[in-house]
Amino acid sequence: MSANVEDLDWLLKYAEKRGFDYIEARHHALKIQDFNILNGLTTSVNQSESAGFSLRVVKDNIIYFFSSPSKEKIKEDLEYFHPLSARPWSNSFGKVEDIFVGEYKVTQKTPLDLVSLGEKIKFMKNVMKDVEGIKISSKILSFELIYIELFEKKDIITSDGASVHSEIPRVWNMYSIVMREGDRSINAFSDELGSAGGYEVLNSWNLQEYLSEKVKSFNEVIAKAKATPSSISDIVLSGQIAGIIAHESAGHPFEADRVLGREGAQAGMSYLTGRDIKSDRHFASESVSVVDDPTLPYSMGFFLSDDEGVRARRKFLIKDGMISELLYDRSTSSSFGVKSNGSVRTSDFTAEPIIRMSNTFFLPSSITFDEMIEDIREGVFIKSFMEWNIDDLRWSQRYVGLEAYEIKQGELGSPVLFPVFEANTGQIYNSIVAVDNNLSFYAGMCGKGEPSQGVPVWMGGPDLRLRGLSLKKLGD
Amino acid sequence: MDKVLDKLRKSCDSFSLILLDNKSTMIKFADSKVTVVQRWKTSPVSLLLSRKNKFLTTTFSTIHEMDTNLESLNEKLNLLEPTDMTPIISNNDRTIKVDYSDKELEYYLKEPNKLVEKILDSAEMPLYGTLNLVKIRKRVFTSYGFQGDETRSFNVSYFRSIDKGRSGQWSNVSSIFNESEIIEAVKKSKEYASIDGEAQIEEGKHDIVLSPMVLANLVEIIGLMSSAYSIMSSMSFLAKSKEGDIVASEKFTLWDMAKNDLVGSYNFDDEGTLTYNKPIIEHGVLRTFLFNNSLAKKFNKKSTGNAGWVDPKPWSLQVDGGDADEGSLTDGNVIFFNNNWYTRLQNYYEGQFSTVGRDAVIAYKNGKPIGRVKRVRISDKLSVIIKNLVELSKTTYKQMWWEVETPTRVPFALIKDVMLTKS
Repeated sequence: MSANVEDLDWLLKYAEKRGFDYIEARHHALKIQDFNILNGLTTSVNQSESAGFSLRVVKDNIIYFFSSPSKEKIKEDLEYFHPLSARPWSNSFGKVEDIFVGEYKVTQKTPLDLVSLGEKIKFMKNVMKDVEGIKISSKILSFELIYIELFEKKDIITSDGASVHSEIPRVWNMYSIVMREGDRSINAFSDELGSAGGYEVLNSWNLQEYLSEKVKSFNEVIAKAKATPSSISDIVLSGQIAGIIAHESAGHPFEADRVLGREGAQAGMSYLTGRDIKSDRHFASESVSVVDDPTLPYSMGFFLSDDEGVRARRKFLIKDGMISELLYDRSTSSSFGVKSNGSVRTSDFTAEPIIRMSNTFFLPSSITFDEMIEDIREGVFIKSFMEWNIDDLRWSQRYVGLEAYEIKQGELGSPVLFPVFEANTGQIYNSIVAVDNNLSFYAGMCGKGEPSQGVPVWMGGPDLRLRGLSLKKLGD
Repeated sequence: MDKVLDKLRKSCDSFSLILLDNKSTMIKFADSKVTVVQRWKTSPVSLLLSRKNKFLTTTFSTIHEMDTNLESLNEKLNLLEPTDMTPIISNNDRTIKVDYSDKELEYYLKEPNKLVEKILDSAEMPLYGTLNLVKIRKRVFTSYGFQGDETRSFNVSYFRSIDKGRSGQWSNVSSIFNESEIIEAVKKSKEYASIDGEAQIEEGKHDIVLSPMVLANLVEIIGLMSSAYSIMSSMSFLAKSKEGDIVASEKFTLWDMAKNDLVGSYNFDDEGTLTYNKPIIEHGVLRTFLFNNSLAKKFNKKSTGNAGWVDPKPWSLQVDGGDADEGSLTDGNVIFFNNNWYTRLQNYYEGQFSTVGRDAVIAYKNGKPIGRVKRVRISDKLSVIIKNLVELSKTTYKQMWWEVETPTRVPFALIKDVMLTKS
């Protein structure tokens, strides 16, 4: 038994004497190394290490959460503990059958600590130098690269027998670039490159080439893009936009705690609130299936046990256009008369375990992109986006295209300037007439809870073809 | 502590060490019931080490962890290359010790039961929200011998009343416990949720009234964009302007408040510089960006006491009130936004953004409310919001909630010709 597990066992046993209905103890360590390169200068180099305990207990259906780096301070709080006068929101806090007992780790082919910090900074500076050296007509006003590596180690035990040890390294790369030509400017910020694994994942992205192509493409947009066409038959959205749509308008509103109103004052509720999802299941066109799957190897949202000690699995949120299941924890599953499907995560030892997405994406089909667009006479393909948002019921959405191109007679044409796609969830999901076979994933940090906690996720999907919706011009 | 400081003095050219001691209790509500009671006792440590124009910043959960890692951090620092952006510690060897904590607030931090009962009893509609009670001690030690020690306590509460598809929200933040202000936030959320009817509006330009919750959210972004780091990285619409330029309506004055009863205020910054209140924008004129020592050197200015070792930040923000009574702002044909969320910038350099209206977006015709407007966005530029501002209420309100992380005191604001879109 490791030192951390001994401490957790000590906390659990102490809490058991206090007569709680459910007890969950966690030791959570997070080591982060990050740096920023701005216009060739190293502006920050940071190392952070957080490690500590959390204890979650349930008494008469009210959840109490204690957190401290010191187990003794948690014990002090338990000694002082007075339950609130009962007005519990939760109906019950269920025991589960799919308890996880064991350990899992993501392997690093090139361990992150084998490569020195100096080498990592030098690599990024060289990437920046190469990209800034590209000949383009517009001026790069600012270029920032951000490198982050995270190593997360967790031990969790519960009063109903779960025992989990996990170790997950992750590498994440972000960039921001501001370019100007004449009276047009562009500001791209991207956090899409992220994976679980060792230093090898950074090499797999081929950053020089990737960012060089991006800068050339942004230059094309501000130098040559035409106004958004007013009349089109079809909109094609890339896997990147499919990903954010899946995350924002399928993942979040399918969180059972949000459906039941637990996040009502913060991130809002869901268009599914009040709907009988067992009998009223039609949701989207038959081409649409959306899953949340934490078991994808090397994904940002990878886990095999959730933070309530429940075994993780792929969840179909939408299957062939029909509502299939929500994301549940031990508390909300009982309200819906189902079992928890292991959807709980936390960001660090100070964070309360709550329902979170992992890797949320549209499932692909077998047709190619060319086959999917070959009969589009006039349309627009939006490849990447800048601004996006969605209302707190997850219904009214907006995405502003960054790299976008007209489609003429089944082929991609000139760039289109910042098309605005504003539509509601029902319109979007029912207008999807085809999806292709290009499944791609994009990293992100998903925020939820109070205090807000960010957890790493992947979002993704194939390219989507939508019929019958229109685009707006920026400023209209 | 002395041993740790001695070790730091010997190991590097300069350092800044920040110790926080945080005790807090947070209770979350949904449907007038308690969803969770959260209790934290944490003591995170941040350390800046620099040597020969090289630097490293670190954070640890405890001072013991930091001490254990000090040798390896110094080895890491040795292997780095020098950079022009190395933070500079202020030449200040003063000692400051202040305690602004409120005993009543500390009592409820330990025993929140009665307060929770009062909040839930005061709800006239299903209530959602958060009560957060905090006591925090911040200590800063620098290699120049500066020792700052400041203790504050505060509560942040925000409530959303939801009934029959309608909602209203209000927030309150205070460093002095005031039960009636908390209960008033519950009642105000219910008042906004009670406004009935539905109104349709066309996409396009409208005159809008922003409640303090919305103005606080947008002002927070402007405050962060006034950081010299945002200017250097062109991630701000203010990057096109210089001090003395007119960037807003003459009615608009935005302060960075370090000496304040708002909770984000401190007497000293992270480099050991003493802080002070300053206008960022005064009667529409850009007065200053926010600097730490190294960015001040780069811009040939003096530190404004806003370190942030890397990125300077406002302490708390304030927009001065105007001449108008609150009620008079909605006298004409306007769209009133009680709350907003999910503000996203499309282009920081242009300040192009959109934000989603929430919790009572009300259409007024000839000064009379004609109903709630659903699914509407403000889709414009931040510069338009502060340039087209024509009236401000006399009364200002302290705001902080999920979408306003910097404590901010602001009035209601009437703004002309703002683009609204729908979906």
